[in-house]
Amino acid sequence: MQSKDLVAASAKPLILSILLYKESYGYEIIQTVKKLSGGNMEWTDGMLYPILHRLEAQDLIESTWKTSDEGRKRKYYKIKKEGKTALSAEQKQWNLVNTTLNRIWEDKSCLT
Amino acid sequence: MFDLNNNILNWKQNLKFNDSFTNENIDELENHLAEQIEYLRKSGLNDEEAFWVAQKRIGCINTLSNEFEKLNIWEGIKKRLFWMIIGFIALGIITHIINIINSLSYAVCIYFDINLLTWTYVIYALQISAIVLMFSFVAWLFTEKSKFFFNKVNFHFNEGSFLKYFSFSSVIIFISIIFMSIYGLNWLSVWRKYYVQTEIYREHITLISQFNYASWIISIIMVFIVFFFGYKNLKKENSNLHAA
Repeated sequence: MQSKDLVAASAKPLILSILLYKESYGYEIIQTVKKLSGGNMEWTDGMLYPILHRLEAQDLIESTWKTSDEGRKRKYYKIKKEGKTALSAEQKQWNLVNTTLNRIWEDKSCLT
Repeated sequence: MFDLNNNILNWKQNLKFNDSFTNENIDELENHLAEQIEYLRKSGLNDEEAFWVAQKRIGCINTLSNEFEKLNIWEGIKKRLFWMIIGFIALGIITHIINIINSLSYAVCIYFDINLLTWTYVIYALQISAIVLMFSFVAWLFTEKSKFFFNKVNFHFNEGSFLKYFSFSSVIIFISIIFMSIYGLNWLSVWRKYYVQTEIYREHITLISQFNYASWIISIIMVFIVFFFGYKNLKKENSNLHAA
């Protein structure tokens, strides 16, 4: 179980990273997150959509309604150029946090 | 017997009656729910179980509406504005209907030479039933049945339909008001002026003012009743949502 703040902060890079590989729709994005985290990331499904719409308003992604082979109407999201730029900036930040924490946890000698 | 489609419809209606969601949001969330239900049914759950689990996973409507509200502020304002305008128009229509009832009944009274004092009671009975009918209609709008009715006639709001309904209804009302005041039944009130000069009208006037007070009090009581039941329903709905 993660804190709300962490879920909120990590949602943006997570969604952008998933969309980087292929365009996708809400349900699939949620399933991908669950699968990748081994079911440990607990998102309330509906909360994904406000985040997606906010990213769309920020011009990082774009959306289109498409009909799937089974005849289901789905709203597909696709990453834009600005989104890719934003993602690489996010990547740098998260990597920095990650390496810093790891350095402290694994090699305590650097503190002394 | 659990009716899956009916339950999905009901869930969707709860979203529609919330100002925070646009129609596109609702479509997207409904698709998500349907997809989740299908997946759960394939993995062995029955309709009812699948519906409840999917609903739970998508999240409580109140929590969702808080998030969506921040995105769709303008949407909520538009919906409220729409209902305010509808209220004004409804009030105008009711006033006209009451005027018509008034004028018509005076004409009937004079034509058949009925005692005006007795007739006043009939007129007010008619007027009060018009008001009662209006309030029952408003109360009906808050009930579950109307939700299904609106869904059947496919009445929902988005930017296009808002403008369509608004412009259409305002044009109709404008034309009808002009038509009613020129060619309408207002000329019948000329008959009333004839009665002003007679003795009997003085008594009539006192009776009318008493009735006016009474009808005001009745209207106010009815507004309170409508608000009270509306609020109670809202509270019940909210607690149901929380329980779900």
